[in-house]
Amino acid sequence: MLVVSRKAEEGIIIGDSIKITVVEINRDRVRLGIDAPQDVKIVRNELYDTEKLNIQAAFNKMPADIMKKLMSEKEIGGNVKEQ
Amino acid sequence: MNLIKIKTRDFSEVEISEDMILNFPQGVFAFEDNKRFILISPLGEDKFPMWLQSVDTEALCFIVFDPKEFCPDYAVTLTDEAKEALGYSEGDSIEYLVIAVIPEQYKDTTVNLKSPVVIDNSKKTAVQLIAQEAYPVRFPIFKKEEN
Repeated sequence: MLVVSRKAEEGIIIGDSIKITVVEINRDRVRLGIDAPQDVKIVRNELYDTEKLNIQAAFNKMPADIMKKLMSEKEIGGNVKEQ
Repeated sequence: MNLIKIKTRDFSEVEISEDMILNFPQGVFAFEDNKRFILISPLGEDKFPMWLQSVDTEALCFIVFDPKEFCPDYAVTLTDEAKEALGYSEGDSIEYLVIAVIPEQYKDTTVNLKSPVVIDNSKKTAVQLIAQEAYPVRFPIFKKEEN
């Protein structure tokens, strides 16, 4: 992965038509401005991941009796560590 | 209340009371056109997982879990945008569900804790939102077998 350091109000240009500007930097949050052609879809990566996961999940055909058996074997994992 | 018949992906046709329908004004991510779902509890009342079945698309169904089963202190901030979509008012009964991805190797099943489905039981509305909190999108629900 290419990593570049930028200060507030600086930016980068991708190809000929996409411009990303660092608008504001706070302690744990960066605000980005993006100029791109209308047909370029821009989403936050969590949303992109969730769309993909929803599509995968939608096709998990799972008969209830199998699921019931499966659940009886289930050992729930430990607590979720916040990332 | 009217009874209506719904074709489901995993349980053929079911007859449900119309007031069981949950309205998703924004659909769910990647399936924004599906605005109405029902929750089916084949394992017994209030037993998870449940099946979140689209009313409008027979083939569209999610298997959902209670996130508290994996994360007892699970809590997600309801954004103003989500409250507006739900028609939420103070005191409404709110419930969170998370969507499972169940691969053929079912021990690799994960749930998406980052993007819960939030149900307003008082209004019979629901939205899927992206949590501001740092939860994983792929949380394994089975303990890894020690080799």
